Amino acid sequence: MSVDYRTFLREYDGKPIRIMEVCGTHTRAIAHEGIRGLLSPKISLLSGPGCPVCVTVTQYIDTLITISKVPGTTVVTFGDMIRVPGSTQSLSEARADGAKVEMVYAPYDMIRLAKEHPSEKYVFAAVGFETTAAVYADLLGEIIASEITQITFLTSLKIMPPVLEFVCKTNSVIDGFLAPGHVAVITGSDVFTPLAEKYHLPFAVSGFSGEEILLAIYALVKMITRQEARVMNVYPSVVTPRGNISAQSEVDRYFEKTDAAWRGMGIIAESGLTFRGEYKRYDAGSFGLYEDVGTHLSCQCGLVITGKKSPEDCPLFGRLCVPERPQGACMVSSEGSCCSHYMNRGD
Amino acid sequence: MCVALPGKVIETDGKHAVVDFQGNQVRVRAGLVAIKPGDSVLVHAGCILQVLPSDEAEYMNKLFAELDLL
Repeated sequence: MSVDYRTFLREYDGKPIRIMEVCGTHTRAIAHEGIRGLLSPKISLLSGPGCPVCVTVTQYIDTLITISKVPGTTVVTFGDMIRVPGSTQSLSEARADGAKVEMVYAPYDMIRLAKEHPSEKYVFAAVGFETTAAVYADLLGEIIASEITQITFLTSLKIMPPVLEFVCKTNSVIDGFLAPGHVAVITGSDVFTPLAEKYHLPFAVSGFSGEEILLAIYALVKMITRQEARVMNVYPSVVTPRGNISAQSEVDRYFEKTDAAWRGMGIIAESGLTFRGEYKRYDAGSFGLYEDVGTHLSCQCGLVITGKKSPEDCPLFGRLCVPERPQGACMVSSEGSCCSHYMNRGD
Repeated sequence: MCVALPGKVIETDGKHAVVDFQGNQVRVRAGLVAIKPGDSVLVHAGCILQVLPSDEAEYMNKLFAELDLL
C-alpha cells in the first residue's frame, strides 16, 4: 500500500520513538529546515556527538593557543574552531592578544601561505571525522610531494563507530540512528552494520536536504516498527556500501587508530586517528591531549551530546550560555546542538 | 563541519579540477577519486570526495517500494 511519508510522520501514533542524529551538519539542517515541527510528538530527535568542534577537549584548544603565541608560528584553522573556549581563553581571544591565527575555507590554502612566507611555520588545527581525515591525507601527500617542511598538524581526528558504540552502551533509550551521510561517503554505509546487529538498532544513512532527512526518518520509523536492525542507505546519490576505497587507503597510509578524548565523555579506545610511523614528524604535539577542564561547572555539554539531556535542560542555556558568549562547546558552532536549538528556539 | 556540495567537473589535470557550482567555478583537489570532465562530484573542504553514480533512480525506486512509498 502506498503512503505519503510526510503525512505518516506527522500523524504517527505508535510507540514513542527516539532517533539520534550524529552529524553536526544534520543537526544544523534539522533546525534550519524546521524538521521537528513536521513530526508527530511521538517522534523525538536527539543530537549526538557529531560536531567535531563540540567534542574537542580544552587541552587541545589550550595547546593551539600556546603554539599560536610562539614567535614565527601561525595556527591555521577552520572558522568554527576559533571561538571554542579553552580552559582560559579561545583562539579568537588569543589573536586579540597578538597571537597569530589564520582562518581558511580549505586546508590546501595553507600550502599557498607556506610558499608566500617561507620563513614562517604553520600548524593546522586538524579536527574532523572520517570525511575530513581523507582531505588531510590528500593534503599531506601534496605537502610531501611539494617538499614543504614548515607545515605540521595538531590533530584531533575522530572516527564514528567507537563513539556510536559508546552511546549505544550508555544510552539505552535510543531507537535508531540517522547516520552521517558524508562520513559514509568515505567509510561506506556498511561501516554501521556491526553496530546495527550488535545493538539491534536500525541506521538510515541520510543526505542533508529537508526532504532527504524526512525520508531517512521515515525509513527509521518503518524499520523500528518492523523491528529490523539493519542499515538502510537513503543517500545513494553519493554513498555506496563500501565507500571511497581510494580515500580509505590514503587515510590508512598516513594515519593509525589511537585512543581519543571526547569532550564530556572521556577517553574512548581507538576512537581517533594519529599520524603513523615516519609521518609523526608532521605532528605538532597531539599525543596525550586528554584534559578537559575549565568549562563552567554547570555545563551539560557531555550529557547533551550523548542524548541524555536536551539543551533546554541545561541551567546555563540561553542565560549564561549564548552564541555570543558560549560557556560550552555545543553553543559555539552553528552545528552544535545548543547553538542550533538557541538559534531556532520558538520553532 | 562535514558540509559537502555537489558540482560538475569542467576540466581536470588529474591532480586538480575546475568544478562548477551553479555558475560559480572553483579550483579544487582531485586526488581521492578518478574523475573526468562532465562528472557530477561531491566536494568537501576543497577536495573531491566522490563521483555521483548514474544509477540512483533505479536504487531509489527499489527503496521506495521497500518502504511502501510506491
